[in-house]
Amino acid sequence: MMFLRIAYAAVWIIQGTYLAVLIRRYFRVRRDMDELERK
Amino acid sequence: MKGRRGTPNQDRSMSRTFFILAVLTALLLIYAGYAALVIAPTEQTMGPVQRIFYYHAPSAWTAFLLFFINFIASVQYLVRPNESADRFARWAAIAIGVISCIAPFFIPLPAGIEPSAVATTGVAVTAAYFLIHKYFSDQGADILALVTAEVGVVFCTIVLITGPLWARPVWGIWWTWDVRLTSTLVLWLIYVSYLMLRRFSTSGETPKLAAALAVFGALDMPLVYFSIWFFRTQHPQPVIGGGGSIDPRMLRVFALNCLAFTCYAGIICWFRYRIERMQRDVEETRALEALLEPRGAGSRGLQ
Repeated sequence: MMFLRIAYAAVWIIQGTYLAVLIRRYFRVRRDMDELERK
Repeated sequence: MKGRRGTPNQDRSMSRTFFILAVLTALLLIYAGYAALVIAPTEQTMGPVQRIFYYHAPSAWTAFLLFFINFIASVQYLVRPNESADRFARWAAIAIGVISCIAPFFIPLPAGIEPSAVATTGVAVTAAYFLIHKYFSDQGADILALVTAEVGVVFCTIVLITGPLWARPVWGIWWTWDVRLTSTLVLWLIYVSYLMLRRFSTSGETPKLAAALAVFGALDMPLVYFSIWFFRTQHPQPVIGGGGSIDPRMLRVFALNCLAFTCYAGIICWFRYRIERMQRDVEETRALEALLEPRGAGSRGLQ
């Protein structure tokens, strides 16, 4: 049971981390785009 | 997706569609997770640890699907500038589809490989080739290749982590250097090197070099897939389409998880594609601004 829990936790930690990286990148690009539009 | 950017109305409706699909995918993932942990019956020999299979195998399927799209997109990026190469690739894609639909029913296949599976794969190659050709420009194909490689590496990482977590209680070892496991690790390393090439190389030829690497890297995929048929490996033989049997409830949960992971990968790829498009737009605008800047404006700051 311990291995099962670790495996499922690992899957969602990896997916969650990647998703967080993508969201951060999205907001950074949006900020850059807004800055360019203001210019 | 061939245009550079849609109108604000198109963007808004795209965002709404994206949001609805993302919510539906999240619900599907939650239900698939519940089905894997609760609805699926416990396997008698391995016990609860067998449930890792419901995340391990769908992750492998998704990674393969993404690397396959990466391969088709990379081929297109390489051949499109040359008209005759493009025409040859198109006819080759048609030939693969036609031959794979006819040949498996006349040529003896290794035990466990169904002719219908070969035909489906061949038709998928043709369909994917023409769909990408129709809906993605040269730049679009390049971005698609980058996005699918990146998301594919995430899913392949999950395969390489959940595999040993299943192997330790069942085999008594974390890892063994057999063909299936080693070729999967090599596949992961190839696509990690692909991403590193794209990230750290500043040459204008980087997308071309990366596409060539992806085409050669894809040669490892059939080796990974067929290794359990052609070599004596410790990895379990396939229970689906490989002559084994599986409880219908387990099969349903497995299919549900495959669907959920595929939808999730699709949503993530869509999101990543949009980010990459926006990023390239920003870079292009900045480059254009730098060119249009009046002469001496940059050097004035240095005085």
